[in-house]
Amino acid sequence: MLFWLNTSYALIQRLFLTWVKNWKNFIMLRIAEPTITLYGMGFGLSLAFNQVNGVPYLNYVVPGIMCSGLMFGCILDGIYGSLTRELYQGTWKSQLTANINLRQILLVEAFWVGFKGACAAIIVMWVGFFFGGVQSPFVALLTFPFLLLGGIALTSFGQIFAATAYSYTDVEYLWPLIITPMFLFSGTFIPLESFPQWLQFISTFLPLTYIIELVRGTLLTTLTIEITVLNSLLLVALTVVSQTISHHLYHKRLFT
Amino acid sequence: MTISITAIHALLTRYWLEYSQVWKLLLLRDVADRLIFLFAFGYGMGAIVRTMDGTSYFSFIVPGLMCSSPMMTMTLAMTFGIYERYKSTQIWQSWLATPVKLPEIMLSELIYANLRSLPAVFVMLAIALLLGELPNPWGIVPLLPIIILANMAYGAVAMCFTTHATRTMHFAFVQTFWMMPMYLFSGVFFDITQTPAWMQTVANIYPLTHILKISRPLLLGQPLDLQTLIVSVSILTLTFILAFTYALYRFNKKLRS
Repeated sequence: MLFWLNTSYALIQRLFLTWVKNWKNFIMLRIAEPTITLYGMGFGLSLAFNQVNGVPYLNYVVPGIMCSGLMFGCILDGIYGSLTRELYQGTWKSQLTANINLRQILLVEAFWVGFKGACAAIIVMWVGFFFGGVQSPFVALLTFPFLLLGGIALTSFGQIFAATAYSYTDVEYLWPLIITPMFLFSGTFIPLESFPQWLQFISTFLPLTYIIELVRGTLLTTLTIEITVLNSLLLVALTVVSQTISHHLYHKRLFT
Repeated sequence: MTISITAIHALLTRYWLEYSQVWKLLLLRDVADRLIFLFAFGYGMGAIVRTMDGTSYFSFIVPGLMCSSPMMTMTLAMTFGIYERYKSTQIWQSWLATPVKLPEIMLSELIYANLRSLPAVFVMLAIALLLGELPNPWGIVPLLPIIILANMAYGAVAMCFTTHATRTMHFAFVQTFWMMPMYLFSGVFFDITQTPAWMQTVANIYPLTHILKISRPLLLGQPLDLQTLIVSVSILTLTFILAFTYALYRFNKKLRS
């Protein structure tokens, strides 16, 4: 166990060092973009209608933008990041020659990306607080565990697709099929209840729906214990299943 | 500077061969992306915001999404696409070794991306027509030349950014600080005349705002102000000429030295 923690620490340290080199891009992409979206969507659309289910639209949209930023960060890093490190740079192959196994690499990467995404989402939440869209920023810190869990689940989900691709263009199909629908149909900007039945049905298959339910519930203090337990369990289940599948696929690819 | 039609024709033939290999994936992505936005905002938002600017919300966003689709195609093609050809594969340099000149290459890049972006416009038009959300579909006939002009303008502006990029990572900044704000603030999703004055000033910087001022009245059958038409068309033309000249100047310096 101690050895496992030590090697995991070494893996995280490597990821951290590469992050330090590109931190400016991280700040730009993960924080400036949600801020612009918040301004455009929050202010633009609150001109047209003020309230959603009795909540001001700006308050309603802040958790949505936090989570959509988390989704883009995590799923793209899960897909393109692991593709880069596995296929193009061969980092994983070199790491596997040390006393580290594949399962550990996958898990540590998912944890690191999820952690990064959750931190970015918290910063976006502070921006939302600055614009007046969050009531109490300290209560909102309670969303961190949900964001971390959601980030890990989404990264693991993305790793499955990376394991089936042999170049960046091979995963292009995920944009219309998974990423854009997840961005729009999981209750980020638009309340799910206003969609027709068939679109609501599709949204139950999108993992982001459950993360947003948790985060929005915490920020608007409407979260019940059943939803917390059920959604958290679903996210854990998604992580476990995705990790198993991607481990299986990568194992076939790297060891045969 | 003379521009030879033969050279442009030769380059376009080459692009046509490239496009005929990959058109399915490109078209699928463009069309699916727009459709998802149309359904999400048309049905979802439309259920809350029933009317905007005197029309149903669904009809309101159709012209916006129709014109923003080529904007994205043009911007992506003129950043990533051009960068790949002049920097990564250096195919521009090989073309320049033949009688083809630099402005001809740039013009043919713009024309090719322009043609490639139009199928998505017609698919959007057809779907909106099928759903009965387009009061005046014949508006597309006078609108089409203006869409092409606006495409030239977005493309030329994106080319200017490309001349300053040294890594593909820099295009993420173009997306975050040019494409996304243009998409959100130029009035695709809401009526900008209702926004604060400073936001309208910002919106007027973007070419997309000017095409929306023309496309919305034309497609929704509202009266189109002649003054708006003239001002918007001249702004788009001016943007294209200035941006193209600047990009030509920069590329000339980069490729000759």
